[in-house]
Amino acid sequence: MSTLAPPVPGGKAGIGLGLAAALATIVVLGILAAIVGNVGRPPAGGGPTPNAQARTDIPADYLRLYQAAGEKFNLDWAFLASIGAQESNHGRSPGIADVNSSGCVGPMQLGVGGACGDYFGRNKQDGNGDGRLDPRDPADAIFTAARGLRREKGAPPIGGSEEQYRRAACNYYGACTYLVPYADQVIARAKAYGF
Amino acid sequence: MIALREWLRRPIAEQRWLLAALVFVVGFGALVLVAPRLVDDDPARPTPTEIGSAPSPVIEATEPQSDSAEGADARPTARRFVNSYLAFIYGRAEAEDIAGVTAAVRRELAASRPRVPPALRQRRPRIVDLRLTQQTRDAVLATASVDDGDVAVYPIVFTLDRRRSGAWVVSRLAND
Repeated sequence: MSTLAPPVPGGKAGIGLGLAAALATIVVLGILAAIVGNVGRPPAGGGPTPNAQARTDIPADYLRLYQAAGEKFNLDWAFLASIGAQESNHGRSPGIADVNSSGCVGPMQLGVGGACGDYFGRNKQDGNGDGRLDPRDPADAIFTAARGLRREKGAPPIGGSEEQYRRAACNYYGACTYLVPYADQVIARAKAYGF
Repeated sequence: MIALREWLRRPIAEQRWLLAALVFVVGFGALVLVAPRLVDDDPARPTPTEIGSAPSPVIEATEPQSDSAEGADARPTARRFVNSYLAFIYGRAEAEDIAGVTAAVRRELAASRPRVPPALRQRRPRIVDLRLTQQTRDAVLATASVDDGDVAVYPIVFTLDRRRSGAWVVSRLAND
């Protein structure tokens, strides 16, 4: 008595095996594509993975700081980065090292007195761990801005609603007024970054 | 395993259609996985040139046909107002430099002067569209679309009233 099974009529088992092999191949390709796609990207912290728009628009050192601060304070980094763009074009605007007439200074235009208030004094953070606190230093400024946004400006944790973030942008600016489109521009840019 | 062994024993000619199907499925799967990475992360997002220093796509400045004959003469005042107002909110002018407004509006603007971030000072806003809609015989609602090279064109909405002299003046800024 033969132990071999009779040949399968029409080769149906062969088709099944072929399809199974194909599916397995697709799964392996998918895993490889995911790995390859993430090589070279900065670690995503505090929000979405930076998209091409964010990587093009934001200097790499600033992008890392926005992500690290977002992660530390549970704040969407794209929103934080958008405020950085709105205030100083990520530190590229001229004159940010000087305290302006309202009392704001640095890449995040943090208040150090006057009409801008003492935002820096209330929320100061040593973002780069150098033992000094300086609102002109990008790391200190970004970490301080992030802390203040969460502590006193009403920014929600990561995953919060657009409306909550819009209100936080208004609070950061100092007003939610029809006079200027500050909050609208912050939200629109954050979305462009992947918010 | 037995079925596989049987299948492998068959002449190549009999397996050809199955191999073709296998190649097709694998090729299709690879295409589906790889194709999205060959294009942008999200085609719906604006391209990098739409943010930052490069100007964003703009609506061409138009003279809409919807302007009524009675309200159309408010257009020069509306345009003059928006240009001076933009200079004000981008930190290049004072409230007293704003043209074509009532004293009350000028006082309101002077009292609520917005903070001007350094990044905003660098932008060059321009009117890309100005639409007027007659509200009453002596009142026109105006909507100016402004492009400052940033992420989005935004509106400025205001009302013009006609004075007894016939001159138009901005009497109110819309507040959302």
